[in-house]
Amino acid sequence: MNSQSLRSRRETLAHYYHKVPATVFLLFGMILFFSLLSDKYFTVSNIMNVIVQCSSGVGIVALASYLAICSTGVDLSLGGIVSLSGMITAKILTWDIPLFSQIRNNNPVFLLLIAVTAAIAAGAAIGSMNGLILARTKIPSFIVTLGMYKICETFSRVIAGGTTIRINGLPLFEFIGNGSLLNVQIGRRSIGLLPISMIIMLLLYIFFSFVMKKTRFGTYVYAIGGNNESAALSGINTVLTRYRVFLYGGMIAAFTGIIFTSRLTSASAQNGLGLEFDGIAAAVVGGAAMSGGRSTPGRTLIGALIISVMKNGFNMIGMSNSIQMIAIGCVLIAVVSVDTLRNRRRFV
Amino acid sequence: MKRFLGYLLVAALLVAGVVSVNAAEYEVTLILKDNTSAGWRYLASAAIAAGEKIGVKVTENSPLETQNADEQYNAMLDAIEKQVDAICIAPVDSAGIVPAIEKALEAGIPVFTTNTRAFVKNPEDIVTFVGVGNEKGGYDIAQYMFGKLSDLEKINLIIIDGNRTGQTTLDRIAGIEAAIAEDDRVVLLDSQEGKFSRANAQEIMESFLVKYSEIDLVIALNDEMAIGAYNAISAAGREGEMLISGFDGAPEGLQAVLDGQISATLNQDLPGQGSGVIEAVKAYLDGESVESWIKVGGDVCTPENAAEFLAKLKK
Amino acid sequence: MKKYWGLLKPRLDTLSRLTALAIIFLSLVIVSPSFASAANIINVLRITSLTLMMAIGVALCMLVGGIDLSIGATIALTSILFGKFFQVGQSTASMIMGITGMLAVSILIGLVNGFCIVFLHLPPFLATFGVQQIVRGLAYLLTSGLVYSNFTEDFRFIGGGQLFGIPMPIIIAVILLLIISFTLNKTTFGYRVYAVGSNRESARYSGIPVNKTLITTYVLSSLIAGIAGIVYTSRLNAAEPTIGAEFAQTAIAAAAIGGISFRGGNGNVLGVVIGALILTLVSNGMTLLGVDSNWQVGISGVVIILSVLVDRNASVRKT
Repeated sequence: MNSQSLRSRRETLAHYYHKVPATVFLLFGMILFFSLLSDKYFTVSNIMNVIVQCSSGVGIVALASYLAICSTGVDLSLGGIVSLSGMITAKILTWDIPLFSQIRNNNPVFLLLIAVTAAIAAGAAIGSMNGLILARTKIPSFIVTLGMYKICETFSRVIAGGTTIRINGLPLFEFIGNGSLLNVQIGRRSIGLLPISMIIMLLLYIFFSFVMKKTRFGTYVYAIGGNNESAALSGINTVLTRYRVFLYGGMIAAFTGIIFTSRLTSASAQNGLGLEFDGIAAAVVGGAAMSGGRSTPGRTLIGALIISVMKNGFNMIGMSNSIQMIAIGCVLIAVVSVDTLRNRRRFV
Repeated sequence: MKRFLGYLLVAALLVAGVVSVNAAEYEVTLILKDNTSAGWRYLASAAIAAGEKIGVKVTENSPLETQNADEQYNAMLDAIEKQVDAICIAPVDSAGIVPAIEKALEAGIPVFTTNTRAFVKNPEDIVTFVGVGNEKGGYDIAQYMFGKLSDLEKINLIIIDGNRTGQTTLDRIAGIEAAIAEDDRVVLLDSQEGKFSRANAQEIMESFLVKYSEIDLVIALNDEMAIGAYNAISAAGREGEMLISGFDGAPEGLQAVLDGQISATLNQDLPGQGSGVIEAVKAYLDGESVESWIKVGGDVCTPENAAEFLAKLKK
Repeated sequence: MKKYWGLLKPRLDTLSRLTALAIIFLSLVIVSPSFASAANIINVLRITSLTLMMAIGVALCMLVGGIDLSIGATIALTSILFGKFFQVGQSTASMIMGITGMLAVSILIGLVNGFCIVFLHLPPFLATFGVQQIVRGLAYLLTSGLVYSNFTEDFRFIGGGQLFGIPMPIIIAVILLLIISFTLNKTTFGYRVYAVGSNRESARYSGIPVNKTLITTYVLSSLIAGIAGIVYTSRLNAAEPTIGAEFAQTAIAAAAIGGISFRGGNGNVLGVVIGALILTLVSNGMTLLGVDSNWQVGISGVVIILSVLVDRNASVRKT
């Protein structure tokens, strides 16, 4: 082996090292840290547990948050959308009107499809309302999506009719949030290695990685986030792009609503409220900048995993939730400051 | 590498303390509805104290702020991974927690409920329920208060709800409504959600005082909200006009009953629920048989007997 | 005519907001008989005064182009500290020490916010969000869930007492309002706030101490939150770690309805007053009209969106 190829290989390695986001090290550092403190931490079942917790909570919402942040906005309505879409799913699956009872008796799969479609449509509707206002006006996204969050919560409460909606006897639906395609038996427990919620999350992330990298929409979003004026000057339809960002965000959040309802086999108007801030934290820890135009879906996933690993880890070592809250705040500030300081050094 | 070390340091700095070595016989995870409000603290500290006495290590793992069903679900999953000997839970969403309970049973961990029931498909899935019936409690306190107003021909009633998305509120309201249905003097003027918070109840009551010139009775679904309502009423100088009732029998509530601020509260005996469930866990794990419903509390605390309840709590 | 238009035009925003407020007010007078009573008006003003205090602090941050999400947590933490450490003696001396302590802690939180924003170059949204997490976590950690209550009569006077028949919170809010209004309009600091908010770079080039102005603003915002915390704790006669979870959102909504621009440099204190009044009137009106709790949340959401939509600053984007 001659020295030249050795050097080039070393350069490639260095190249890859620099391409790996720093947050990956943070993630592994945390896993290592918790493994040292708890012997039950680094087990197959707990790893799958963290992944399921991530995919049925902050994971998917973080993707929607990332899209909004990438286009210099922020979407606070996501928690409301999770609540509303989950509630609509539950309502349709249990609605006692002749039409739906008939479908439920004859063809439950079809009813399930209707429910899931309706939930995603609701997410799309709320998202597009956000988008319509935010794309055309200069009102800050913070205030509009905050209002929309409240509207979602109200609809969710009204549909619930002052109670929680319970879903019984629909094993296929319960499978979405609780099932897995591949199970292994460890002791008395069967551990799901391919949970459906994880698959849904990964598919969404893969799809949006592709969208952001390979399609014009992705390029436009990064362009708007980089510099809105010059994006517009270069002929990009910024209004449409911004509209689509919030539309897709709403649809993505609806998936979390469906998974939530399926996982708990019941829907309460309270479900999912507050998740929007977890989503923002995850997206930002993953590397998104509030000024827009940065980070990728992959990095966002790492951010979401970090949040989930922290929550689970503190539970495993028996730390109180208040310390969890403080820790998440510290990590957020630390990661973002390291990130901004490094970037400033590069550019200044 | 520097980056890596830096991040490692950040992670390491996050946790100052390390968990103490577990010497207890059994390890139990206790999951309540939240980590902050007073009532749950009484339950948790009684459970932990009882555990220390009988050799059960109790770790609490309740959601932080809002009554969060999903976080409770995650806490259950984490407890399963910790392979604790038993899980005690006061479910936020009685139906929503069922899949998690089934997972615990699959892993061979017995589940105990306290304060609020879980709607499991087979009753034997839950070892025991420790607590009062919320519906019966709501009925009892409402009936007691209506009785106190026996000289009135018409009772103008205000209800300060807890949180209508949660089971506890729904059950208590159902009990109160049953009592209303039996007494045709009662007119329900209005009800609003106070979210179990003193501040919210105070604000709601301020508006009600303006809106209604005649109110005879205020039923609040916990003691905190009853005290909040009292604050609003006394600020408006309308103390003599109406009676207030609370729910919980927490020390502050009992004191308010003694001070004449509120007329009655329903004693849930939260500390009794906490110690009761841990004692049940110990008995069950030791192989003894446990009843399917361990009843604690349920008495209406009036100015006459509140001092006794308070003395019991202080002990 | 043209001369009058010239006078009127810059005040058009405030005028349109006043009109909206008047419409809401009048319709409530017509629809709800109990609304126009003196008792209810005082009640509305008292609730507004708390929202207003917090909104002024946040509005200052928004004027320099930032935001403060940490005010609710600041109120919770200072209130807990007061309950836990300073209420032991029950004496006037310990009360004054407690109040000083609350204000000192809130200033400290403001300094941390300012430090993160100025020296760590964090976006204000994230800095104050992170600080919010830490501060509220500390509040939970300190209380272990207990409620501290039954404060002394002296302390309760601050939030619950009356002076010449006017509730104290209103008096405190008005004094605060006058001070901030004077500071913004008549002092160098006020001028700097607007300059930094309008264009940070040109403010820097024209020799304005940008960093100092930014830090002072965040300290002021936290300090005002601390004052609101004192009033709130006193009025509630209790300290809980959960209080104020939605304060930041309400305050930001009030400021935004009042025409404080998120990009900074635009808006005035009068607008914030109108914004806070609109929010309170709507929620008070809904309670008086007996609107179901379930619908109340959503209606306030619609009001927030509508009132920013009609704002002239919300001009249509061309790009």
